[in-house]
Amino acid sequence: MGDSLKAIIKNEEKKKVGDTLLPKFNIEKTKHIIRKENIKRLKIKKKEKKIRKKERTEPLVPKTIETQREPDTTIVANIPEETERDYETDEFGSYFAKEYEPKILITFSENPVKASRKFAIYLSKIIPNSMLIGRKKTSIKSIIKSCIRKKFTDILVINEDRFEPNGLLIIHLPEGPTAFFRLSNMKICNKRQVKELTSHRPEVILNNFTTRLGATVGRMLGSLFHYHPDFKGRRVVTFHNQRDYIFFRHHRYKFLKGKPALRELGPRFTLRLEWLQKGTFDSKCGEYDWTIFGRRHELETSRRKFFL
Amino acid sequence: MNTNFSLYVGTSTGILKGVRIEKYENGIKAIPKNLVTNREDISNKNEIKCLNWNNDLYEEILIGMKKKVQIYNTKNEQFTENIDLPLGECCGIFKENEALFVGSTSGVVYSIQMPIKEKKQFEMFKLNKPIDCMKKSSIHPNIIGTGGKNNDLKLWDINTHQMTFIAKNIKPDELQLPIPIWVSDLIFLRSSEKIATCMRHGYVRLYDPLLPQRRPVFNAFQQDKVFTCICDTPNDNQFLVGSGSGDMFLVDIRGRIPFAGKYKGFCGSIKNIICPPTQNLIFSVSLDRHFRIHNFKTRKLLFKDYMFSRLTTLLCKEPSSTNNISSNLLL
Repeated sequence: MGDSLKAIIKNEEKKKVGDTLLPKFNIEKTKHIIRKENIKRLKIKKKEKKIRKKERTEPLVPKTIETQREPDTTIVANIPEETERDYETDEFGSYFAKEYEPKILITFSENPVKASRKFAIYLSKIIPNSMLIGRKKTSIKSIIKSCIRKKFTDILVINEDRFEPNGLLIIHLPEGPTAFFRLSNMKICNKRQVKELTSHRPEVILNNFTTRLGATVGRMLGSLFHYHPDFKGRRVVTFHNQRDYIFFRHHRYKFLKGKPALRELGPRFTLRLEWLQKGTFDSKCGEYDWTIFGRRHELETSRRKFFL
Repeated sequence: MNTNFSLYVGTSTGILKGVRIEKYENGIKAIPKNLVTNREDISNKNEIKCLNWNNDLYEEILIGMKKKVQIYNTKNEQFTENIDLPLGECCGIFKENEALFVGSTSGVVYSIQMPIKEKKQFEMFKLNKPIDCMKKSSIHPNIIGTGGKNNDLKLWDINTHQMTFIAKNIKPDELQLPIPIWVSDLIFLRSSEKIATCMRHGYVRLYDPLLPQRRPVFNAFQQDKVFTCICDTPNDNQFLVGSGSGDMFLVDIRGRIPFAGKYKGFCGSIKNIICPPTQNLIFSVSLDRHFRIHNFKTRKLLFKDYMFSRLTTLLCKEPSSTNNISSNLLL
């Protein structure tokens, strides 16, 4: 009992000592005064910023993931002769030399759901000289054989899972590469957009395909459309690559006073490259130019590393 | 410019590249140089399919292209011969007794007497079936090995045009279905008379033609892998195989696990691997346009370089011939 009493007395003594040590509450410096001080400081900062802005000749680069992108060895400022000749003589060289007109076949899986059928119909309306055929039970390899005989230049196959389209396979014929894209965020046309669709050949914009792999993919997507657009129709199709996701948009443009105006037509979707294969489709014995299947953690080492 | 190249790389655009490999303090470095500079010759139609030396003195490189054959002289640094092939694509090339032998994918081996006269005369013998690869034996100079799609390993005598060995497929599976065959590459081992093959359906096999049995003495299977090239290593019991989706495996024929190791860092199909017997290094080329150097033992990626076009083949000097090269150069 004696010990506990002593402890209580000690604590009270401590409290007294502590009270004297605590700083006195400053009544004059209330909240609004502090706020005023802050505003003053901000004004000074702004003035300094303006002065710095006047002195600066080049604007600052914003700090985004794109600007901080990891350097890729295949992005070359001056394209060497070797790559130039490679572009001229590869599978798409004859398209860019305007030697053939693209002719495209669009199919889907065996029993397509309504969403993918609708999607295929709008695709066939956008892509000129394209044909929509139900696949039934034919294999892709036999489709390729008969398409080469009938002089098609590309095949698009829409893959579906859980009642919605989720993949797009593009095969360039007769000996071109095969690419498989993951398809997401698909939005098909509404009633207004369907009405405004015309059959003019669209212009194509390919954005941000910088690396060597990106160049191949961009050329592949570009070669689906005819090289002579109908400028009268004022239709434009865009493949915009941002952080390896390829955004597809379809617009009609118009020149108002001083500035252009856009009106969206057609479906919109996002593509992401899964693999690129040399030669026509061969899932069993084919050789890949580039594939991320099974090595995602090995290749995606950083958030700031992109392949296209 | 020092032109003592230790490696040569063939590309799909028809360019032959000489590669100098140098060691420096922090690691290893490869410096490429284009040997074809004529703009007309750079084309995807002239894809280089195979490379080989003419003899042990390393004076000339035999270049097998898609539709023609060229010869490059390493001393003059000039292309000396240009021969058009009548049929098929070149899939194997070598020189023996002043005659050039060219294997064609149509299933024919052409032989051309050197030096070439004005009237090019092809002698040929037919192999009955189309082939994907043809290679010469390292021990017997007159024996070649061939293989292809639905065409298992066969050994031929180029003097008598006779078959000396036909491989037999392994036993059918549990449903009694025959196992498919597509030989993509083969190699004659340095030390023994054995032959190793790899297949597009995921098999790696080792044959011994001296034994009475025609079935493989070693068979390994990896599911869903397409093996495109095979290479021998300093160790007699181990090979390296490369796959079409960009995996390089170390195959060991002794243990219970045949695929004993994996080399990482690829993102495209591996086309050719070379592992020189004295160095502890692996050189490889792949369709993703990169040249890579791995450490054989630690399996680490030491160096990789972008070389502008798809790389298809590799050729290196045997180490004994390059003793005079200064010490910082490898090979």
